Amino acid sequence: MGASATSVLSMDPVKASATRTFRAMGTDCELIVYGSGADELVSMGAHRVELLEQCWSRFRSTSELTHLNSLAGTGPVSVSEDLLTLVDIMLEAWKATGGLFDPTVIESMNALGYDRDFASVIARDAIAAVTAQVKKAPGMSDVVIDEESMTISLPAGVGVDPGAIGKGLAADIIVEELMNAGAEGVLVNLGGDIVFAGSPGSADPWVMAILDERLPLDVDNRVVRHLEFEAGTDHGAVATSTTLKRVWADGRHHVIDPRTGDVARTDLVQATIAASTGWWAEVAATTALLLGSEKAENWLDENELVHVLMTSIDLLGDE
Amino acid sequence: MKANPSTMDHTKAMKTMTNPKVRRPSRRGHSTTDKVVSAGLAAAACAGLVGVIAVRTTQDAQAADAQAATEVTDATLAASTTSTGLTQAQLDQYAAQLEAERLKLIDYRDQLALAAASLNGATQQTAVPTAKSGAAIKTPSAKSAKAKAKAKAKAKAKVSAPAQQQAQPQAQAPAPAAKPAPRPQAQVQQQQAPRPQAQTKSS
Repeated sequence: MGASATSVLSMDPVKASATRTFRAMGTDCELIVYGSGADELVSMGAHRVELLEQCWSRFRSTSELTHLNSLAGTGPVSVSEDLLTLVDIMLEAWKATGGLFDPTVIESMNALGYDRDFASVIARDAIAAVTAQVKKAPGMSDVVIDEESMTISLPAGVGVDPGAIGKGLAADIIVEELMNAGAEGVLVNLGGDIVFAGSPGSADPWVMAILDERLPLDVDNRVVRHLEFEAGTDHGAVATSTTLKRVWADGRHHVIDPRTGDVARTDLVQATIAASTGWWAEVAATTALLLGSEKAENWLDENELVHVLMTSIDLLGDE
Repeated sequence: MKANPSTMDHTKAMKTMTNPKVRRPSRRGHSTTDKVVSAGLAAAACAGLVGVIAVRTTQDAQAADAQAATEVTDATLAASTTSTGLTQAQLDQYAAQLEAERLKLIDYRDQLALAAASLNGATQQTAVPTAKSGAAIKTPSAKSAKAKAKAKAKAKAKVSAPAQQQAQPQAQAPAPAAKPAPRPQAQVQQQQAPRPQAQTKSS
């Protein structure tokens, strides 16, 4: 199991639970369900991850998102509920962050060479680096969503990338659906974007261990903080964004500054955020990185977000 | 266009019949035999000419057919390419695929509803939209609104340092001694470290 391993250490033997680990969305995934019927529900949760990936992936030529992006500039496009939800939340996040979270950086992302799943990017990188021609992201202002007719209109030349929000939102959806189906507790961990609800098999709190991504992988214990959430929580989430992972070519990384279209230049290397939803935690983590340590502290405080920030040399803050 | 073998045969025949050696009148006397031969040759020449005409006519017809077919194909392609730049066939294929995905989602929701029913009884079943109603497919606003509203809620989390036995960052940590003093932690736990259900990992 990789660095995203989830350790279930406080399982109440009275409560049934089921765990499923697998690869999806280009990362390690783990689902834990507590309560009777956990085996069935955890299987359904894994299946739901695949359904969402098929809908949202920008790396699958047959995904609905790829099709939508290819039809930019052609007017309203009929979409499914899942895709409408994704773009709707993207727009909400774009507004809430004053445009700092911007899924329209996809063109720059592609130009920088991250135009396929990351394993393929790395493989190609060994052969030849891609010459990047980046430009400011167009933004979401002209994206039109019609929930009544279930259509989305993307302006010409505008595409959307679910990279910095999709896994968090997927985890939100799955947790909610499995809880509605009767689970007593659910935890969905999609590459470190973690969403949970209910109780972890007992009255014990949900505890998330925050890893310090600055430390080498062979360090015995990379845990620098714990985040605790009361058992029985309606919906909780933790997400981390860092410039230290998914690095390729000449130090390029996957956090793109929409103001320049280039990789983010920031003193922060890791932002871990606790929020009430996965998508908001993920968006806030990306936004914090883009703001830099000083402004990020203020922005996160204003939004009442519990956070742990790390720069390249130190641990800046927590609360 | 790939040449038709039969057309090539006719072309060879045409060249043969238009050979001057064959058409040139004989300069030897005008004996009966010669006349017969001349008449035969003339007949053969006429037949050949007719053949040439027939071949040319056939070729022209084939060429015309080919050109017409090409024009029809072009027209068909032009007609089937939509304003999106995709052909109708591509759009149809996409629509079929989208429908397949929609059916998978319906099936998933059906199974979820059944699981809910078996786990929690009929009251819980209503919490999961059934596929037959189509509600799950056509009502995204409720989910979106809920997701948005939840984001505004403050997460009730507390941060704590791992306890002593949860090893501190090792010596390989990038300059930990150089950092400024961390902000006071309201809820540092001194007792045994909590056991985490999950570990963060950057995405």
